[in-house]
Amino acid sequence: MGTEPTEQVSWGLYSGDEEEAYSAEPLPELCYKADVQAFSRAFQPSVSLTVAALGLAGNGLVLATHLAARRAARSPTSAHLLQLALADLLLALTLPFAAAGALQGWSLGSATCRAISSLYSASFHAGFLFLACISADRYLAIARALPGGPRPSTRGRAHLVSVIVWLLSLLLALPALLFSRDGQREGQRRCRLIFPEGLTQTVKGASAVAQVVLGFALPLGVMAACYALLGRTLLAARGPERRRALRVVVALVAAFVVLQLPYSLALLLDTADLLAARERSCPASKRKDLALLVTSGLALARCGLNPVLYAFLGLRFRQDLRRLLRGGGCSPGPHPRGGCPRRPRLSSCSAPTETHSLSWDN
Amino acid sequence: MIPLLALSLLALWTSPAPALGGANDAEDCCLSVTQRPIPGNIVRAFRYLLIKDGCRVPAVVFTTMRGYQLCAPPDQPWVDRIIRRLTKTLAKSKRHSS
Repeated sequence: MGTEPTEQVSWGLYSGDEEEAYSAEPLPELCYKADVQAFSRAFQPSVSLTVAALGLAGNGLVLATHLAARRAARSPTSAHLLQLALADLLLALTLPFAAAGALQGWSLGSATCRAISSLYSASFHAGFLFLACISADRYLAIARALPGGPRPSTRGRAHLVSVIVWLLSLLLALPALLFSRDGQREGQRRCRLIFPEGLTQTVKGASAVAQVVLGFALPLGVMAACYALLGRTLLAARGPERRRALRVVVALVAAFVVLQLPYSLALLLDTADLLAARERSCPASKRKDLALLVTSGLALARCGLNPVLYAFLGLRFRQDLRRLLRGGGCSPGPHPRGGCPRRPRLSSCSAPTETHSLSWDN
Repeated sequence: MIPLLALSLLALWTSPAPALGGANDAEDCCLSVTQRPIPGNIVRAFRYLLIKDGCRVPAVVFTTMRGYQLCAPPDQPWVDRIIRRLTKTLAKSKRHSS
């Protein structure tokens, strides 16, 4: 590169009022982010605690309802809804720790830092994966209900899928387990994920692009495809119940896009900077940090809103379903299973009743 | 299939869920470092801001006589020379004061 000669030259050049000469040049200076940090110290704990309260109450209620009913989940969807509630509850449990850590530093030691970080990471990924599972379940329920559709899955397969999702989530939480550290900086201890220095920026950047693709585009694609097919079926059907079912589907997809899209976009922009090795100015860098902070709060809010969107909206759905069933389905009572074969071939019920997969079976 | 799986694992590993610590990404950091050497006699203090401090660009921060905080690459010989000189003078002044 020939830096040696220029080095000597420049040492010789600045023998006079060096600092004057240097401060006139646009030399890279340390970027202070005190204002972003101040905002974050207020924003992050308030979002965390709100989502934690919502998440604990909502998901706790969902789980409690299920446990009180003492009945195994019947459809794959309800099994996955239960797992989703469990994942969100676990995530909500870690949030008060995050809020406390942001407010007054991490004071619980390295082992707790690793444990909480791993739990946070595993439950975040599990929630995401179960959302994709639910959309697939709902589509499959409709597809099976159609004449000539595939055979219905057994309860065992839904459990197998749940086990696989949790194993995958634990695998994804491995870096949090391995690399979370309770590091000190400027007098404050913080629990954070620090990757080994061996990983190059390019590897990190390429993988971050893949993360946006796999973490957002792929689940969105799966959800969009499944719900589009589901919506088409519902549109073909008649009656106000079907319209309401359609509205729920639209609400679910819209919520996913509104809550997740901004964070994914912010992450994508950040990744583009990382990949292009682009140097942003300090104000631009601060704006980017602010965007990531706010959008990540939205992404986190998903965990508090899931019970509302998936379980509670489903209750209305269930009432609709009962009306539908009474109208000519296979079971008149509040327990549709009683009227169906033990391991019901879903196609034995009329196709529109398959919207019951949108309901929360308690 | 396997490379895709490996890539997706790596992907989800390297930048996972929103940071637990919250302000993780808003650390005071150097966004870039100077490739042109800074004269050593304008520097009065130094400190490291490395990847383990939560920074993307590892840097040595030199505090100049006028209070500027300049970012330098930690792996350059000229940076090492300044650091060596600063530690020497710091040790000397410590010996004087004690």
